Amino acid sequence: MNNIIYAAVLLSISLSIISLIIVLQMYLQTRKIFRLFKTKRFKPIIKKPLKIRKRYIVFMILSSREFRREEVANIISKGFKEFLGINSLIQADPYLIYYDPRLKRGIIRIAHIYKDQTLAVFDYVNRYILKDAVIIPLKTTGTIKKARKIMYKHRVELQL
Amino acid sequence: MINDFIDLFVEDPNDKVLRLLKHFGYRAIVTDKARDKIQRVNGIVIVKGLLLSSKDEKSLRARLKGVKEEYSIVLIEPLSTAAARFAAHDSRVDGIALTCRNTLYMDPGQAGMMKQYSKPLILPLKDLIKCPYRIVSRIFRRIILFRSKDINVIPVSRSSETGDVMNPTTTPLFLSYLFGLNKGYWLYSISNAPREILVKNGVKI
Repeated sequence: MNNIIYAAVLLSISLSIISLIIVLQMYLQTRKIFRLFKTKRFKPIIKKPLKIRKRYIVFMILSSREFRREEVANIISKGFKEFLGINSLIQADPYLIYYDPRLKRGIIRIAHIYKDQTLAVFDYVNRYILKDAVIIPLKTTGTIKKARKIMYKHRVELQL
Repeated sequence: MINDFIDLFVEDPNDKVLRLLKHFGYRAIVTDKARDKIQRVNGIVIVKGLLLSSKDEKSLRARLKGVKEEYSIVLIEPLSTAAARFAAHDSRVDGIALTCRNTLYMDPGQAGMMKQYSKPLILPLKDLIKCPYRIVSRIFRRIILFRSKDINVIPVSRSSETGDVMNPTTTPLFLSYLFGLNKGYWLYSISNAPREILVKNGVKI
């Protein structure tokens, strides 16, 4: 009788070990399948767009004449429109946040995807729109606080 | 050409507009000037729908009373935050329009609510073209916000003349260049996405 019980216990233990091995194998195989789905081939076609972050560009104007805030804003938007087109103007959304007419320095807010194009627009403005002045970009920052700090501290003696 | 496009709001479906829509391969349109709830003219299904603009919740609630008995599709252009929030969670409303006048009320909170109640964003192209560029760039940012939350953006023509009708070949390209999204998505948004709304409201195409 005892022998039968021992045999049954041994059988159950061995069966449980075999089942554990099968479960482990299955787990490893399914993990491989899930890994396949995670690869680049199975990425969805329609991607979610990235969040648009803001960038602040500090610039200064070197000129003998005075510039009003509206004039500077118009010049920059005109430059954008002429150089990159209305499409880029809409996506970049350049906005003159601050302009100090005494220092002739200002801060422009733009979308982060257009920070390099904005510098190119400055060059276009210097060459084709403004003939008696030069717009010089000083620094690109991620916060307005930092931009203001740079605007007042960045080598003011050059302009005054 | 695929004969499967749907325009979710046409202001005046006169003979010329209908002929052009048929030529472009439109299968169904929604208009407020239809005689019956659902009718078929020259192979195009004309569904009776409504585009309401409302300034406050109270007036919107009054105008929505029993609206589904007469109209199959109801679109709302909210002109206040309260109206926008009410429209987002009301089951009679099928979509919320984003125009030049209500960009300020379409904030992340509104996007979250629209996601929760699965309401699509309707983009009338006729209004979009008239907006100044600063408003269009604001609309662009709103579209990016809504798409990042996986909310459908459906362009509608709101056309009353032949010039306003959306060409399904050029409109997805125009929108993808203007708003920087995938061309395929915009094609989906004028074919399958509005179809889902119509089918949900019991319209057989």
